[in-house]
Amino acid sequence: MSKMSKRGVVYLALLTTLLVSLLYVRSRFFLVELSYKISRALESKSSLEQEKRELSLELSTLKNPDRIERIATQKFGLKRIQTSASIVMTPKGKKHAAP
Amino acid sequence: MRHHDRPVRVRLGICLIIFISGFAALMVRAWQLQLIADRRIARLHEQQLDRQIKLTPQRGVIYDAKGIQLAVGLRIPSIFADPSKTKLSNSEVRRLASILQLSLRQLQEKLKNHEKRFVWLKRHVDPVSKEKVEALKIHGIYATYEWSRFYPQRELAAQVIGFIGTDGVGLEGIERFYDRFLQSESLVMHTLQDAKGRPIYSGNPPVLEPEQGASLYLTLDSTIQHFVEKELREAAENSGSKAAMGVVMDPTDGRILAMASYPFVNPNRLDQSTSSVWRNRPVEEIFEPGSTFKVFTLAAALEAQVLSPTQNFLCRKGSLTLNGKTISNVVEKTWLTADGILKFSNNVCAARIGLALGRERIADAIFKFGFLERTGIDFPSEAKGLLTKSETWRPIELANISFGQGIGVTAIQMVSALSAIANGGHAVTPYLVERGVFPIGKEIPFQRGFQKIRIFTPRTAKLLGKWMEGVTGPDGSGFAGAIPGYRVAGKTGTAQIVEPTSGKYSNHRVMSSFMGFAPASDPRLAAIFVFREPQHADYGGVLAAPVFSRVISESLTYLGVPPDQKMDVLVAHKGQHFSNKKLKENTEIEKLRQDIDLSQYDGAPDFRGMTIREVLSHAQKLSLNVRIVGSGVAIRQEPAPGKLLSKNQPFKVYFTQDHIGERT
Repeated sequence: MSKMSKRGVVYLALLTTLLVSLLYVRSRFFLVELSYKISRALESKSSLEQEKRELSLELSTLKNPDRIERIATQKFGLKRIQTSASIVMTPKGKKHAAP
Repeated sequence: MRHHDRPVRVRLGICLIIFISGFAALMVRAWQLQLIADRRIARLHEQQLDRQIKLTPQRGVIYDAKGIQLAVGLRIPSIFADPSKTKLSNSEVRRLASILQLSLRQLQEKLKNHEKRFVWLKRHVDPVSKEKVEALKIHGIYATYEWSRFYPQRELAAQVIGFIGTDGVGLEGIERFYDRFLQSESLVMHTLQDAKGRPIYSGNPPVLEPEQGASLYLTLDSTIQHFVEKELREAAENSGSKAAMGVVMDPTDGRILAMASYPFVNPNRLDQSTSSVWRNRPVEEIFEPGSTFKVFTLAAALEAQVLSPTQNFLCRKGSLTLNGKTISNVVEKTWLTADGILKFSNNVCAARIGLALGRERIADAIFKFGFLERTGIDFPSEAKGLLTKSETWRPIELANISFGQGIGVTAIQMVSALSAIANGGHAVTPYLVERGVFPIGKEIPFQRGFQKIRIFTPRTAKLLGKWMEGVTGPDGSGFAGAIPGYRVAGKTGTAQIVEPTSGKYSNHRVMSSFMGFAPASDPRLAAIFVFREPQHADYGGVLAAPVFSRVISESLTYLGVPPDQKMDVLVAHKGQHFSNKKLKENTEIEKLRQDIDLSQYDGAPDFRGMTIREVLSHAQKLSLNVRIVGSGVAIRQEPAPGKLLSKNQPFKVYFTQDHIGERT
């Protein structure tokens, strides 16, 4: 009986060691998995930021005064206003209106 | 049975011994690898697991005065190799060379040194080429990203903004002058990598974006800059000018609102241009100003009290011969007072005044007005004026200098000195950058603006302003510089250029210019336009004055500056003309003005880039009802900067942590 229980203790110890080892390996595996996820998320963040920069750049390109004037004159047939044809209304007490 | 089992037991024993020995050997090797320091093994470990990612610095953005992007950073792929790991077959070399548009020889040259661990194969490639290279899956050939610079407005103010080199260092213009603020230090990030070379991030959160440099807000206004460039191009092309330049400045504080140099250049395609067109001419090019300089000769004479406004001068052609040379005029007059000298741009009279002043006094005045020094503009390679020593001047040289020949100046010097006349006599230091802001909202303190140094007395400034108004009058030499509705002070200039071969003044090669300010009653804009060697219409009053008129007229309308001259007004839908006086009396117009009641409105301030504390502090000073949304740095606001804002209107400012996060 006592011989059996000693063997049981040994088996139990081995089993426990095995379980702890498996848990450790699993946690390491989980950690690596998580690191890959972080890596992918950061790359995604970086690419979204790049997209934002590209869109912002495109917006600036579209705001080019030369392009706006070209569209205004060629597409919509607009003409530049003559100074004599405009009245500047200034706020009271101010020397000029806001541009 | 037992006897029969013995060989089996022996074999088992041998196996056990072999197994235990092998295991022991493994344990010893593991102990050796783990616990005994070995440089070779440490280096191997480093090579296999450690991945160094160099994060190239993100350059700050350059904006115009209204927040329009003029220079921005964008991540662009670059291809590099680790020659120590690269063993390419002939077909791989051919395919790689074809994708990267390199010759076989160039590629083999780059990869031949197998002791090297890093070599650039091609920098700044397009994303498609990068994908093609990655698809080859060649061991030791990698792609990374680098920051590259883009100029979304293309030619607009290109020579002012400048450009950077491949390594991200500013080489010209604002990019060079403010390089230390725009740049940030590059970072090297260490991570682990797996067998396939993919980074494995662990431990502290990694930094993927290096700290961004400061963003700069220029004084340039893209709209006014566009007016200048459009008119310069048109006039230069029509007149066949070799080059042209223009500057528009706020004469009260030296803010440069536009600065242009023709021919224009697209900084995104510098390879298609020659270095001669990269120069920012108004700051870097010296020219003989010609008659525009008469303004300063008269200023010097007024300051020295050798000229009185009512004094008459004999100015007939041929009436002045010095050192065997006769000084001539374009418009023939016999007697002129000072205002007439400017109005008809009379060389003989200007020379007489110069002679009356004498060498020393005129040389002192030239120095005092800032023509022999750099203006101090925040731009690299600024030129200073050229003048020979006054002791060597004969009367003819003194006379020539009096009407702007024999002296070299820059356009920025001319417009700065002109601004002093416009603002009542105070020197101004021109500047191009209004403010610099780091991503966290911290502002770079710049010393700017108005100097208390007086270079003209108020009387001199006032008289010159009045006389210059005559130049743009109906019979003045610069009548084409007039603007309907506005009083304009101006001066024309047509200077002969020295022939480099003979050293004599050319009869057909000239510099045509016009400088002036408006409205003359309360100057808001001072400007100069200069054309080099026009083939036709070469007089400053014919070529440069109309450019001044159109640019300044459009700019004044754009800035909302009301006319200072009485003029008839055509009232929409009424089909009737009203004089200013009648307009005031017209009850309907007055009612319209009162209905709008613009006094209740003001321009919304710009809070972008500020912290909550800074926004609250400013809002308190401006008595604004501000609502804070989010935390961090202000990125957006309602209403937008500059929009009309009534005093009790709610004002929302949106904040984000994004910029702060990028720095941690």
